[in-house]
Amino acid sequence: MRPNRSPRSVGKNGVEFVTTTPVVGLASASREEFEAWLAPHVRRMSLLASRLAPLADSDDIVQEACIRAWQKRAQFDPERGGASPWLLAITADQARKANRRRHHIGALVEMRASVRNHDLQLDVEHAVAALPARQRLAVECFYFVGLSIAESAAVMACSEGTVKSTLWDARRRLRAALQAWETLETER
Amino acid sequence: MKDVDELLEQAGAAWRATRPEPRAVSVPEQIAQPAFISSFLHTRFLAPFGSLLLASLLGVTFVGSSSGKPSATPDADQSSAAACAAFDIWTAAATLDTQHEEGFGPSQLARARDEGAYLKAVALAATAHLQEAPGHVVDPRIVAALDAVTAAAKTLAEVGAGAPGVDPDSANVARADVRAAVGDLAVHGGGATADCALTAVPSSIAEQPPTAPPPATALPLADGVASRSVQWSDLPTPGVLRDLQYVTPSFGWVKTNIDLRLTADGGKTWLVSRPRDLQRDPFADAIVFADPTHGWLMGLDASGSTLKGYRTVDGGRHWSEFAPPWQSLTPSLQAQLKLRYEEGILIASTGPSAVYASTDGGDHWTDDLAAGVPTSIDVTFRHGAANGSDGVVAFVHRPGASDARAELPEPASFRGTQRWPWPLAARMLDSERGVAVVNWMGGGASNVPTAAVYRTNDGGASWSTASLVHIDAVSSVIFDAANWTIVGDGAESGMEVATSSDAGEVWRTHHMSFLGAVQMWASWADPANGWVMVTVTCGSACEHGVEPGKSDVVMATHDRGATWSVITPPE
Repeated sequence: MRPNRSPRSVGKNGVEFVTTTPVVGLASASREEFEAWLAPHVRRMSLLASRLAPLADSDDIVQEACIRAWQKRAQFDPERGGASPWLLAITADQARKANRRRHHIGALVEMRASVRNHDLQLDVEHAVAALPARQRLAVECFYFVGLSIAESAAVMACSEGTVKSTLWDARRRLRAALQAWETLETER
Repeated sequence: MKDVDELLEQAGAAWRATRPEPRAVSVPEQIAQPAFISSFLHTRFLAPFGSLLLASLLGVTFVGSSSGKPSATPDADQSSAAACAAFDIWTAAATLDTQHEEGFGPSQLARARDEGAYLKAVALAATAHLQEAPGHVVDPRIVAALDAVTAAAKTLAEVGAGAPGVDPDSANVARADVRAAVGDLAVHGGGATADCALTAVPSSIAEQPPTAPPPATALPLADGVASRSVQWSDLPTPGVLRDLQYVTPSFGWVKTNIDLRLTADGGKTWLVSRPRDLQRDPFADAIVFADPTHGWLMGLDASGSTLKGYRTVDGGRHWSEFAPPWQSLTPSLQAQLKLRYEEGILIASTGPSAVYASTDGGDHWTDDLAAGVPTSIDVTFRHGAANGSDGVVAFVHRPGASDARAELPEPASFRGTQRWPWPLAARMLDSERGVAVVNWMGGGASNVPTAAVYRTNDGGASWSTASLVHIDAVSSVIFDAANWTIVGDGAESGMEVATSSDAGEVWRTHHMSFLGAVQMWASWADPANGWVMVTVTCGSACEHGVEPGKSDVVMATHDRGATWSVITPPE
């Protein structure tokens, strides 16, 4: 019953059963078919790339993700949850690599920690930037890129329950932070 | 101030509107190699002869078996019917006897007889599913597994009946054949959908629970299918673990992407359960158990539009329907849906200001009980701590008396430092004594997040600081009279557990690290007994026997976080 530990087993009639994922459709797609299949997801892949690697070129990241997806297409299993979580997870992976390559994290913190602005939108951005890493990632995925919980879970490599609880915690923290700032603004 | 959820929605939408359209992407020609289709797939997916016969009867065709190329993509109907068949088959396999039986006495024979009858019913149900969509593409492994189930049903019935000339050991062989043929069919074949309810296992065959009779409206699938507990390693391997609750030291549940698994012996054996007409994954958005027998869940039906509620009174063996306080939910609200059970009250919420309560287990819902509760209290229902206009306020609901509201003072040592209060919980131990926890974040240069633990001895009329605990990102607090446990998941690859066995006088902190852990989510039955769900991404060096690659495991502690062990075999 643990087929992934012993992938081959021989049934009583001598026929081999193999329990790897069946490859249907995508693996045999042509380059053009693959590009057409991927096209509807490019916009959200690009949004995700800009949130996760704000100082890198999001178009470059999406292009790299496209190539990765092409190379890994035989592993794509539609039964496991559709194209978009799979593509978004690959995009997130490429964005993380871009961040590591360019050492932009220090610059990012500096930029976001600039003088506080009265603009509420900027306040929200500042507060989001100050969240712990996992909470920030959840907020970026769900609110800014506009992903579903399932897609966010794919990007965050965690369960949907964890995405929900992380978002829950992030909102609590943001509420506290925004209230504190509002109080400061009022006092000025 | 506007609701944070709304602010974030607006900020996200405004940001998206400023983003330019992305450049088109392409696969460069030098990278595009011919697709990987080879005789490898062809030979591996060849079905046994018997399956070809069955397939011709059913009028189905095989993926990849005719030309060496995938012949078609299954359409939605067929995926659903095939998924139902796969689900039928693996649940059957999961309940088979895993012991190698010797010396077949009356009980072994009776068991073989039961299993034979049960497998026969499952084979009929699965066949009916495949017949729902003749002419479509079916994964040959489903058909192969169905063959094995059919053959095993016959063998087990013969062994059970003591038929002359039948070697009892063939029962062992038949069971092993089913397990080998089923493999991880359910994971790749998909879970059941609403359509599966068409072919319920006949109730005459489904084993009835020994004590409580099933409710009149008991749903199909869960009945009988999961009436025997089996080891986790004998169940299909889930893709991911989604949620868990550790209810008592022996009872708890884990939700996976394919089913709900319950244990009544601390994780040694598991029972599979799941109402059948809910969407596939996640099949439920909120689950709570009050005790080892009573549980509730809410999830969307297969259409994804209607919210349904189910409850069990026999530990998940049977589920009956109840009407949730909402008929449908927007995706944003669905993401916030929570079920809790506190002091005899079932609580459903989609955020701090949308709280419904039921005192009769879900028959009737009211939002009256929430009246008077500060809307930002979302930690507990009847008492909690919240940021108020004049500081952090603890709120305690007192039946028969006016509710208590009192400030949780900023600890003296924090004054003059910039800290944000982050209220976590207020819990009453009895009518007079209670404990509250506030995380004071920030703190200027030192930047050490510190949890302040408060105590009341007058029913919440006044609170004083009991102790300060150095712990980051507190995620849960568990108290009884003397034993207090606080869990923090601030570290990316670890978790901190601070415990006190003398009501907060002396604290002891354990750090639990798991190499490669990217997320941890804990649930505690009491201050000593906890489970944590760990999502691991590790390379070649993995701890605790986890194989390289991504994996979710559940670990348990029975000594307040000092030692942990894996209770679910990792993938």
